[in-house]
Amino acid sequence: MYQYRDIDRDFVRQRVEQFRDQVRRRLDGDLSEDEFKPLRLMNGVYLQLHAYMLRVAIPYGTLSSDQMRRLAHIARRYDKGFGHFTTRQNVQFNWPKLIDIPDILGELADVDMHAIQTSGNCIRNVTADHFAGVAADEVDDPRIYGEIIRQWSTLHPEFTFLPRKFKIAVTGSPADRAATRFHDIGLILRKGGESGDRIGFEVVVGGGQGRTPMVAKTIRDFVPEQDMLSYLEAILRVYNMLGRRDNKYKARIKILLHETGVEKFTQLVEDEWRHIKDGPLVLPVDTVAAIRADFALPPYQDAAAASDGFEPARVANPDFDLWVTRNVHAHKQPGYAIATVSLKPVGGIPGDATAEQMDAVADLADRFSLGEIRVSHEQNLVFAHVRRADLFALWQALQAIGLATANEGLVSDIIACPGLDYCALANARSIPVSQRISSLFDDMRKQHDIGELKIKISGCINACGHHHVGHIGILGVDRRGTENYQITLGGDAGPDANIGTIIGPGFDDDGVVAAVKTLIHRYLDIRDDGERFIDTFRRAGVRPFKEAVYGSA
Amino acid sequence: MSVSPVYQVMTANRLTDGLAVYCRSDGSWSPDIALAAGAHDDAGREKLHLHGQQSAEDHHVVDPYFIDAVIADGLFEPVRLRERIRASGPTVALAALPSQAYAVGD
Repeated sequence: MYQYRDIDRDFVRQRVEQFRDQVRRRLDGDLSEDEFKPLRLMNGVYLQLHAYMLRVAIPYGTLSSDQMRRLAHIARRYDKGFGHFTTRQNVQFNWPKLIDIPDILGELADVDMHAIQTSGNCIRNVTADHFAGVAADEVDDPRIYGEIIRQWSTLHPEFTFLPRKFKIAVTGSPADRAATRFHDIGLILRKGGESGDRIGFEVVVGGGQGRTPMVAKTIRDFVPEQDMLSYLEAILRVYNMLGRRDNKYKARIKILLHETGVEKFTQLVEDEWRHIKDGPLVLPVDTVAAIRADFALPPYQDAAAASDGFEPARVANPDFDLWVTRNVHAHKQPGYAIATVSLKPVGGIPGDATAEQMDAVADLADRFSLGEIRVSHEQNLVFAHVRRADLFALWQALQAIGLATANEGLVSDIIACPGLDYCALANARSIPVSQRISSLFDDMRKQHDIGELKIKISGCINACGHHHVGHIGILGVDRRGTENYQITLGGDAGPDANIGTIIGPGFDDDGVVAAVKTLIHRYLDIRDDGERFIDTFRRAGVRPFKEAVYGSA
Repeated sequence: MSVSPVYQVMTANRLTDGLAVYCRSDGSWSPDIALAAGAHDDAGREKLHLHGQQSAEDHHVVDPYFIDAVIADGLFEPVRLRERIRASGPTVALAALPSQAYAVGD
């Protein structure tokens, strides 16, 4: 992973001391809340329903075991003993005191972490495929480019006060595990150019969720690696100049793209790009090579010896076999595997981990995954470098800390925002609904029989819980003072990107849980062999599901 | 059964730690809504409004505002769910352990 240089450390340290002084001035009364609010937001500090919330960046979702231990320490010392991993590969602490936050940021700086640009109308933490660098199906490691974008966008003077927040995701895989088509800009690595083997990107723009969900549009099929930053800068410049600032609900680039039209918007970007493409933003080959070296594959052991014992353990342990079936993935190195650590225990809180669990995960990363951990946008953790021969021992160790749930991509692997239990913007609770739904399916074999089914729950229209792209999406709203939940079907965050369709009137909290159960039973009744829920929905349409929930018209 | 009148209670977040706090009759603030002052007339509201304004200007609290509350079992209970959760804390357990986390329908 990327190793901070002196310039990175100096910058983060300076930023901590700057914020320490800003907090002191706020507490002394030298700054009003109106003056202080934009400063704290630029350092990831929100004021939520019960307390301040600190959002810490985990660039492109990669962190070391030492960094994870520091997060555990912060949770224990400054918070209430847990952290919450988010859909943007960040981690949030829900209870820090303002007076402690400069010290927390200092503790983060000690391990090359920060909270800069995790809020505000700027370019946010860059996200990437959580299997980056090791996936058998990828073109190249997206983290190399995520890191270059991080360096370019951090305190970029032109893009610090954009019309609205701006999110960039990078994937190296056609499987698109980073939901690139639901970001302001998605970069999809591919090979192209005249020779067909140059590294570059398909550039998609204007995706997003919130109150106006849109799938990003491709504005260029191939931008060569060396031109990545100049092309991004051209897009951002057009957006910064023309994006609306009169209405925050119409200020995202998706609205600009929609109102301008893809063709005209693309032309504006291309016109701007022509002016700057051969300027100082051309990526030097040696710079890319230096960052690429930071992400070089670690020294793997001999593959032949690495597979011993794996298959016999699967045969002898059916629960281990279930876990392997869902949570273990192909690795580009023979004899190795990628293992997902589910943060979705049945009846648990999606994305939460206790300090003890974080410490234990760090120890397991050292023991089994070369000291590295990934955070997925689906609120799980990932060990990216596990010898197949170690998978059984890893699974046993995860069982001991309650993190061996064999449910990746299944009905209980629910994305849920913090909702009205924590968030000042929410209208309804998300977490209890997710707990009740996952508890309906506490029989893991039943979950495996149902197969892949992505349920995503948001507690308000801002859609932090990605409900628009859930196979089953649930949106909590406030209806005359009570919680009401709308159901959408058919959403998809992957390569077949799609926004779900509302199936009808909403439900109360009991009703929405019952409706989800009914939808799943209808799917089981009508599915063809081998069909996932989303496949059945695409084949049969909304009607059989709607009839199951609401009855025939 | 008698129905409680609706009172107005002044709330804010404490500057130093962000905790939800409620204004008492003497102008001090408590995290416990049971200790809050409730206004049911213009004079009472004006008094609490001035307390809130002064406390914000003195940098003790952030963004003071009124909420509606009724008396239930002798204590103030906010009318809106949002404020009930804000007053009593998350309706789910604070940790991820499944044995502790399942607390639905409370």
